[in-house]
Amino acid sequence: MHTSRNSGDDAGAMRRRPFGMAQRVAAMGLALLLITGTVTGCAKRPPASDVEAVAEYERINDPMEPLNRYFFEVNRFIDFMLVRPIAEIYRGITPGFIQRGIRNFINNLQTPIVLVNDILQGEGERARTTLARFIINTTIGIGGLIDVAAKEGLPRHSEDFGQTLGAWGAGEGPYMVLPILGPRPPRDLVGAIVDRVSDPVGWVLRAHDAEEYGYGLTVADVIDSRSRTIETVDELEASSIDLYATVRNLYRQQRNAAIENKD
Amino acid sequence: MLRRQFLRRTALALGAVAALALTPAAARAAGPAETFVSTMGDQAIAILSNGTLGPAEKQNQFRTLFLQNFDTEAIGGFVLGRYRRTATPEQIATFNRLYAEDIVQTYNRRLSAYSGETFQVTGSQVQGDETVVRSQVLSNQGKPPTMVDWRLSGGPGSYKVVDVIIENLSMRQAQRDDFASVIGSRGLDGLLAALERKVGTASGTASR
Repeated sequence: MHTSRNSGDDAGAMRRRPFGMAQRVAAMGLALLLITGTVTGCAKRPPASDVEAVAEYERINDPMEPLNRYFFEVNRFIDFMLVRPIAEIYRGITPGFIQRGIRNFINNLQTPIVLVNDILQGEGERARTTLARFIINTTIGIGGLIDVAAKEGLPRHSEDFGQTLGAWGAGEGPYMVLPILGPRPPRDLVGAIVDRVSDPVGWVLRAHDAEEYGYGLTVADVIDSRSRTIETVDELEASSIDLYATVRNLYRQQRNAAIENKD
Repeated sequence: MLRRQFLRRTALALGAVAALALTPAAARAAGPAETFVSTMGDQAIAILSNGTLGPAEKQNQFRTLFLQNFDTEAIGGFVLGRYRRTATPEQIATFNRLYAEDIVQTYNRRLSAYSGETFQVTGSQVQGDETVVRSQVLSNQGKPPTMVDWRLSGGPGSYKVVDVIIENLSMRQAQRDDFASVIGSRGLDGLLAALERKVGTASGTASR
């Protein structure tokens, strides 16, 4: 697997991968420190005399809340105008078995990243499950279209570099919401970047000058995922008064459970 | 990607709370806490599958069932958090009334999405003063099962639900942050007004 069209960074990482990964981790760790260190100071910290209020302020840990709320609303608008309508049409016209095939296919292409992070976390058993799933589903499961492994008692689990950083003891950092991407506090933002650049599927596509397939996969992933959460998001909107604060809490609960491998 | 995973998970979760649906669960030997949860489930499913009841009657029966089995005042106390101590007795009373109504309406709405799922208690664990009963909601349409944990206060004969944890997401914790944010920007009276509106509009229209 050799590539010449790549940026020097990726090509270098490919030639000597074990070190490439370690260097990236170090670089990202540094970035994390910089981000968490610089983006503080635009929220009203309660006076130190109000101990409970200070404790709550630190637990909520959302110093950029006004900006985050702005991007949250931008994302909701994009969802309302574009993503949700397409997801509803997709769900309405696509037969169930094709939807399942698309989901399985995308999940299977994400297995290499899951495997790398299983290993980085020292989770031997889970790594074996992930590897077995990839082999079984790619072959017997016809390129990943059928999740044969789950039926054989090897259920899927998620893993990403944000979770790995968490398992290594890194804190999440202040809450951040990014345009399009949604909630991405520093730890998970760094994780997402590392996963993106170290994804072998991305290397293969770039090596064959076929990045547009990667974009296609991302779009399919977004639409398929959204089509599965329509009722949930509606229910969240109905049951919460401040949707932003509810989502912030649920995001953190979900990430913490994922880091503890409860999922 | 993270957000999508999160939403997917929450989707499964809420979809299935929707489905607090139950099989007669007495098939296996169970402790008193597990029996409490499975009995509650049996009663919920009896209401859901009773074809002779109109929607209004179903809602009324659910209301009775929830108010019997959920400690809405304890949940309300948790979600109000530190703001409870600075509230006046009148504010507390108003909050308790609105919050109980809100819980009833929320679960009514979620249960109205019931489509034949089954419910299974899978175990329990004592955690300090409280008991956590684990359960699964099983889809009849090939979707993966949803884990629902029930956090109970009290002991045999006096169990009450104080939290519902859907796919590792604690509902009372999410609501505490929701309410704290509203109180932080609009004050406790602002929260009460918002709850009043929410409860009022929801009871005025047919549940979705």
